[in-house]
Amino acid sequence: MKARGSPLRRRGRRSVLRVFAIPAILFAASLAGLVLGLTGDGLRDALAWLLLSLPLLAIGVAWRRRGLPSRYRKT
Amino acid sequence: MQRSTIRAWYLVHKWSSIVPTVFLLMLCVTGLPLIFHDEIEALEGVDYETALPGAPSAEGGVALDTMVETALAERPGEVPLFMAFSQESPLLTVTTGPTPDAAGEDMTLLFFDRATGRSLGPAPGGGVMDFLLQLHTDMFLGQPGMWLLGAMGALFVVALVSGTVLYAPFMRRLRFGKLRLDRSRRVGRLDQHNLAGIVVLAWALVVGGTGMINAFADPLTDAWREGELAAMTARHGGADPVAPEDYGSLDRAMASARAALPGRSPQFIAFPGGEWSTARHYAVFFQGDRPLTQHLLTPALIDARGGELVDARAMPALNQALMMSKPLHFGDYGGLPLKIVWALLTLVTIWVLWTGVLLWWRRSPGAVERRVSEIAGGAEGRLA
Repeated sequence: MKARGSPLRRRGRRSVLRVFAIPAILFAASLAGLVLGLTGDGLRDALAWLLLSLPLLAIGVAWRRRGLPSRYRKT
Repeated sequence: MQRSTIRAWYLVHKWSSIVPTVFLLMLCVTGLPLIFHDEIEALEGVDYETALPGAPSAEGGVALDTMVETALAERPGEVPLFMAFSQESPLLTVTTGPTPDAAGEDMTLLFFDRATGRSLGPAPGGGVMDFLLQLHTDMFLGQPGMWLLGAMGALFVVALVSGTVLYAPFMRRLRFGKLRLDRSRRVGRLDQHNLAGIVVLAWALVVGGTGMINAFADPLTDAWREGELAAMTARHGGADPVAPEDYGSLDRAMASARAALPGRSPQFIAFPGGEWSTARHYAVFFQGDRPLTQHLLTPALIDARGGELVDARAMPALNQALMMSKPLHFGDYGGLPLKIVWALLTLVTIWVLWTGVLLWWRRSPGAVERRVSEIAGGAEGRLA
């Protein structure tokens, strides 16, 4: 890591923990879904569908919040 | 992270991605319809699993010896190689071939209804799905093709890991999921690549990793036969070959096997002389009796001549891992909704691969150093 005062050190930097907070949740949810589906039917399958859908949901949310090119913006 | 470290990871990511990309795109595209092979085959009208009434062939029905006779009457001069059971319907399959050690392409797969003993004819084959499966498995190149695709799977895992390492410094100044489509084309693509890649990471690692394991399946089966199976038979008078005409009753063999593993359901029987048995034994493979263990097989070895049990032992850990990896690769274990999610995750993976190709294709001279600076500085830092 760079020392304090380096030009790369400025406000708005996030720690590795924060960068990986949501990805880690999605990672764990996906793995849990993959394994739960294997261990049984019924409720476990439904949980597997739900947990494995979270990555898709994350993409959907990000897409809704995307920054649009200026030509599409109402100004 | 040091600039030199980032540079090294960047180069690892670049090359571990460029090399397998074409193969991975092919695997994703052929894999998509394969996820739905049950549904597609049902549309083609060959879905015996749901069409036949009666008890599952794994539980009972017409005597196994009768079923073998019926099969051999259809293929005169051939020998039985495998018999496989269904857990859901009376469908029973028998594989025959010219010799006990026949190669895969010389085998014939026949369908039967065990409830009535009626033949349903040879398994439909040679369709589009078979073509896709072959392309997906070995690109029609046999074992070398499987190894090549297995190696591409290994590179895919390296690409996923190195991409995740680069994600950390790059995302220091961006919140999760930020898509800067209002900036240059390249920045927009890069953000899509990073978001799609990080959210499918776990799924892609599992599907890529299990695909790689499946590619190395045959050597693992050989190792099991030559190691564990040989050890099981060595203590019981060796494995002198039994000629097909001397095979004893299959029903008696099944009864001995069931007595050794009560409550378990048989999945298939390997006849003597093939890859899944010894030269003198029937190997009856039983499923586990719990949902988690139903993909794990335990073979019971039975003397083909006399029908008495030799040994029944779970397969080694590596082979068990191989069996567990199959459903995790195919995504066919949680009903249609899971298959749909599987297909959508495949589409996301295709998007990661495609944006990756574009990011590399549209690069300009001196790109590596600028990219390294961009990652080192964080996306919105210097030189973004």
